[in-house]
Amino acid sequence: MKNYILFTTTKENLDNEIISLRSSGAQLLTVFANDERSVNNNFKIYAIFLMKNGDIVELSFFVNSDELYYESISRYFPSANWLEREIFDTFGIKPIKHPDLRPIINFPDWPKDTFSMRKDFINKKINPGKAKDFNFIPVKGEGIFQVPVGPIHAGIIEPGHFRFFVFGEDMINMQAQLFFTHRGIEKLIEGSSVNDALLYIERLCGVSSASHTYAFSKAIESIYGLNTSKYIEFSRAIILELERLYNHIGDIGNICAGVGFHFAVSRGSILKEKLQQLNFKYFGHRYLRGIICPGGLKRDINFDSSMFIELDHIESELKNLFESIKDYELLLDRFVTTGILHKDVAIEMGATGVALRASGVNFDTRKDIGYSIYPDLEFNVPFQIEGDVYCRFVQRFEECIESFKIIKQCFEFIKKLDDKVFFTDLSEIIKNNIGIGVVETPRGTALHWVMLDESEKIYRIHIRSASHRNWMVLPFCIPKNIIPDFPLINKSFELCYSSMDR
Amino acid sequence: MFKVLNYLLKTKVITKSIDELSASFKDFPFIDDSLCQKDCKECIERCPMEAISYDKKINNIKCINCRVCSDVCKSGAIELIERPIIINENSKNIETFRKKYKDSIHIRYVDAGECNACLFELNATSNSFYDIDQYGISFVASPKHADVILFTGSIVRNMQKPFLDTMVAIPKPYLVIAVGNCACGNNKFVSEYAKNSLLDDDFIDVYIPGCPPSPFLIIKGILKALGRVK
Repeated sequence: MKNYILFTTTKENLDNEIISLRSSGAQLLTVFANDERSVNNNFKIYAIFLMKNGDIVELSFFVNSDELYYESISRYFPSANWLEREIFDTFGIKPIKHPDLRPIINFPDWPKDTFSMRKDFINKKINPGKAKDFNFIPVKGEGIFQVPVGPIHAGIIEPGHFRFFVFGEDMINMQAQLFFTHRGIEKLIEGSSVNDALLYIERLCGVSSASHTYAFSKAIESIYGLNTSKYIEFSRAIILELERLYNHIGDIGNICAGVGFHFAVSRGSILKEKLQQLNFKYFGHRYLRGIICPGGLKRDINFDSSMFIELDHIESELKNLFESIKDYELLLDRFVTTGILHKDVAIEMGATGVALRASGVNFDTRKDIGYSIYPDLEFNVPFQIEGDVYCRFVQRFEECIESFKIIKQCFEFIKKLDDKVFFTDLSEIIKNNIGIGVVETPRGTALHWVMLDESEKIYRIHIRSASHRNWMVLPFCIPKNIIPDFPLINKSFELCYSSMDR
Repeated sequence: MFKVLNYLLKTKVITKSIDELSASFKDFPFIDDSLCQKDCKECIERCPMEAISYDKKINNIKCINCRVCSDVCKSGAIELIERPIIINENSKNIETFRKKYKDSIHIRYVDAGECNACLFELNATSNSFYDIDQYGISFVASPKHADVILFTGSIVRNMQKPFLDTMVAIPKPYLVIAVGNCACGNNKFVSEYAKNSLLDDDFIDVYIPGCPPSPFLIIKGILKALGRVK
């Protein structure tokens, strides 16, 4: 990461700042609130931006507890829409002039004027209220029908409710009610020690476990002013790329499940299983948990050359598989021109990861922010142009090839290093009480923002996962497609519900 | 098309039965009394889940296989074994269920609020390595078609109603299988306000703990629930 610039403003001056950030081409990473009434008698809103040159800017302003409102950022950065609804739901701070303030986290039976993220919220079980239907924006017209789907779906997938508005088979509009698996992770972590918090972060999203622990560790390390050694960073990079590999390869197969092409599904799952067994053999966990921690790694890893021989096998098998299916008529027929995400929508709504790169934007946090040792490595950021399902399918394959390249280079670097200390103790003095960690997870950019209190317990953590960003984009790909293509489009994004709902 | 066929014919059978697999999934710590130094409390103090009691028994539902205990043990008394599956002995369902269904069963899966690792392991049970279909077990889309309700995750507040609706829709007698520590009753990973207030865990018949349990253990657990393995 290049620079982390802190920047305070006032509620009145906010508009000007936001407009100048917008005109400079900044990308909104996240917006969230923090209850700092015990520190300075105010609430505080933080907005974090990524500048064109790779700097990260944190803009913050106070909101007085008597005047719980501010002027919405969504008017200039539409990707802040859901984040500001979350602020309204969990803090009761109203973003005025916001286009759509329906509740998002709070379900219809949630008690009124109860704000779960405030510090004076009493964290106890809340009895279910009277069940009401969700509040969807109606789509009206002759011949338009509603199709409700979920929360429990037909396959082995996570819960979420979708409401399709259809005209015949064509979808006009799709709205999603998520947060069925809301576990209150951010609230849960508040007040816990760094080591305890790590357990919760590992269980934020099962299949991006290593990436999220990495971002969290980076945030904590920047709080303690710790620079980890090259050996630690190269080892971590191998772990992160292995995670990307098993996700992407599994997804290459899984997208084909959307068209019932079982050959590719079973081949993809075999390769994914091989990678996960490799994870278990060399790292002790199929989901790479319990390895990365603040300060380094929890245990020394024996990077054996046999691991790389196994990876070579998997790479050649993947290439064979992709070669045999990439121009298969059945796939092309369903994949091409389905679920197109236009480039300008992708940028405006804050799409990230595979979804963004498949729509023609050559952006990758590993390259553009250049955190950790990634600037030392040679790799390309592949991208596609059209932004349809086929592009996202091909994009995953091309990213896999780059990941194999990165892993090999890291291994070469590790062999040359003499100093192989895998853990550095965190110092006893806190350098600054706020830390930030950004990582390119398999699904895109994720951000962890951590604030510690005097007793080194976590005062507030805010997590914005890659899926949180892409869920907002999905409805834009829906119009002009037919209902049977929805599972396919959804699979091509491979969105995670659990890191969205938290 | 010919490329696909050509590729298909090259591969051999890779499916394994659970007897062949049992050696490769050892992730649950076991303390060997003969090697353990009685006055050493290192593993008890370092366990992040407080899963090891003072008489050095490991709580199966609390343990998240983080491997901290086997790392800190100086005398090498902790070895990793296959995780035990727990059958609820108070359950009256199991006997009636086993009489009625011997071989083939259909499962309705519900994600009741978890981190999706258990879910992906469930998905992995149908890949060619484990191939859950070879035992006559399949996942179905509707609870009306199912004999077993299998869920993961500590049932959270927002999922309690859909979960209860599923329980009502499934024909009797049915079996409830909990997969993963959260489902088995370890509520550490859910904030208090997000917990459900309608259910407690005495409706579960079979517990398959693990964080997450391996696909092998899930298959074994289901077969054990049916009384097909010991």
